[in-house]
Amino acid sequence: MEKDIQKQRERFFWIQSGILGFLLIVTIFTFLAYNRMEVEKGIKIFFAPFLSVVPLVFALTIIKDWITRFMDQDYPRAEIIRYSIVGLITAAIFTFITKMISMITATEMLIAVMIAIISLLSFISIKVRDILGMSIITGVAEGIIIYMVFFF
Amino acid sequence: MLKGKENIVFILFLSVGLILLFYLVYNVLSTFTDYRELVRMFMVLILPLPVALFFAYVASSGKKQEKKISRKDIIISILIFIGTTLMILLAISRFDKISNVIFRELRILPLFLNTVVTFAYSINYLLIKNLRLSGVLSGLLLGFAIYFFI
Repeated sequence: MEKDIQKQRERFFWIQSGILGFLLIVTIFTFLAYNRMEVEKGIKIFFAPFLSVVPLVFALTIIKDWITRFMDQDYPRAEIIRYSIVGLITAAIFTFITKMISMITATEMLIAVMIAIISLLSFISIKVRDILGMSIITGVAEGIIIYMVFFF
Repeated sequence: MLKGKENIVFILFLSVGLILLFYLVYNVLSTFTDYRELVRMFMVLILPLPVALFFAYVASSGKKQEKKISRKDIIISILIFIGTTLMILLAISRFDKISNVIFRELRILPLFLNTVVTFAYSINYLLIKNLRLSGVLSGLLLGFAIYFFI
């Protein structure tokens, strides 16, 4: 019975990170299609992704201990409220960050910034796999959706 | 997992919500003017999903707790359901009279309200199982359906 709950929670975590990745890809294509983008030098687009992928691979090889704490009991009420507040703060921060990203007009800058965010979030979803990582991922997804619905 | 008469009521109200959802999506898609509106509609449709998954993550437990439902609870929830239906109809008609836009011709706002209410209803049924909250949410769904189809 106890292993069932852990499996359920792990499955919910993976579904959440899949939704977040899908949302980020939709956001990139929306900004590329809707805003009028300029390309200054074509060679820069080729080098932009490596700026943030290389540190991600470096960090993944150095940090060896994984945090995996999918609890097999019910959470106490104080902890639920604390992590919900963490999620709300992350949503507010990411609404502003998405607004900043939508002001960028150069294509290579946009690609570099978005891939930096994707690699940061994939680091969280690979290494910090407990309720803290779950609340951060939820906050980021909600922040992006709130900007796209109400301010875009 | 689900059994008995409550299952029938759940499926009935959920189908009301889903039919209304399809109608509103068709309403946006048939006469959309801007690419921006399409993206906004897609984002509204998946808006409650991350929060729902977070609550499912927190609230998943192996123990199944069964409460006894008394007759008083049922009567109170039915009264709340009828009251919420009347209140939402009154509120929408007031909104139409006071402001110079008609609620039926707005595109994104009814879709937003309907998506949130439908998701909240199914989460309440599957995880929380509060009878009064279920009365409020089904009243909201029925009120929207009466406004849009009649």
